[in-house]
Amino acid sequence: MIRSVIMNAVVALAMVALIMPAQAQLVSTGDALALDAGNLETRVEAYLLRDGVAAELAELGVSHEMAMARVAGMSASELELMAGRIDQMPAGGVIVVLGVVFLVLIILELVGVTNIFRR
Amino acid sequence: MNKYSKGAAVLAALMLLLSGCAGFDTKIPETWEPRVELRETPFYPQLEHHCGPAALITVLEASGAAPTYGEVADRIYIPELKGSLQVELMAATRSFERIPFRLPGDFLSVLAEVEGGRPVLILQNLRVRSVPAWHYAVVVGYDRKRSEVLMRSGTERLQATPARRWMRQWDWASRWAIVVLEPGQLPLNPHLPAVLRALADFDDHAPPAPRLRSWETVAERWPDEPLAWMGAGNANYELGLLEAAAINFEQALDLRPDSWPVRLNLAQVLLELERSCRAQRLVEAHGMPFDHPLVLVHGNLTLQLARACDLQSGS
Repeated sequence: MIRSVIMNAVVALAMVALIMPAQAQLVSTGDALALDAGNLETRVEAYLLRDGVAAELAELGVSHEMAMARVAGMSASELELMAGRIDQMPAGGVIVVLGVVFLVLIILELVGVTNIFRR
Repeated sequence: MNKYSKGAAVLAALMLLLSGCAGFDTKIPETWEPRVELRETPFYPQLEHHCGPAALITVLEASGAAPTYGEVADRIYIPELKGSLQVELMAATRSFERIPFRLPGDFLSVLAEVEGGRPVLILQNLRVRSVPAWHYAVVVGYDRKRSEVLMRSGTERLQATPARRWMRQWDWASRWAIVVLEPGQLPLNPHLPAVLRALADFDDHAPPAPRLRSWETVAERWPDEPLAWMGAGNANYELGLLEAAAINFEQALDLRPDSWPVRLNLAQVLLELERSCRAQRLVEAHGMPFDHPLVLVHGNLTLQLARACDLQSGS
């Protein structure tokens, strides 16, 4: 209860910080959607993840400057997906030559050593 | 039954299981074009591990954007992972002023876009789920009679993959597929909540003119969707078109009188249009609970409106 009141105050302050400077900034459509879904707080918190995600990208060989530009373009839910999980996500990049071994593996997986219907 | 026939029975069962394996339905309706190939789709042969940038620049160019290969790679390639992530493909797309829409995870949703002239970027798992090998490719067509999916993939300009195998490789990559579209265009069978999500994300990272185009398209197709009018209002406001913005917000508020974001945005615009007393009535017509996340915005605006309305009526 107390936590949620404090959180609301933090969110409200963050919103004011966004909204008040210079020419007024309106409430964004993203904020409106988040408000409806009841997760405006998580949306604001997610933006605090930016620096961390940028640092992770930099550790993986992306230049610091590009890493900052890349995270700046991510939405709140994208930042949440990335934070702390970059190395567990599918990183598409291969050129694969299918060998016999993998045909066997595919057959094993198809016949149920791993269930095909499990996602 | 001797042991040979038993063995044969097991083998037959295995074959049956394999052939019917996934039970994937890869039938293409008879009413569709028998063969589609989007020949104009550009081709960027993949450099080592660069299937992400190669696939993304392919669909970006097809949608009319003109980034260089280096710009795209800078946005999505991760050297240590020797690859690119789905999330970054989405974010990068927006940075080139295009909107990525995730497609539903069924075979025909992908082919329908292709039949409609849009190449589709997909993620594939070329091995198995336990030892995955992730790969991005671009679907550019299909052949109904041969039951094949046609792609720009890796170093192949036109790769024809049997539909069943294509389906398995896609299924084992969580059936991830996107179209990359110019603002103002929608997927062929758009799902409203997904469209709103995609455009709201675009709103946070794009200039107002293309955003206005995309929200107007949504408002045209779903005139009863308040967020569409709100999105158009926000974009008009940033373009300095306050009157147009006010009209958009009025429309949104008519559709959804309980929306505080719309109500506050309308009040702000009316304040700047020097119609503060009307704006004040609008804000005070509804009580806002003290723990509402927008309570400070509301409070601040209320103060400004009170002052402005006094001045207005005093003069």
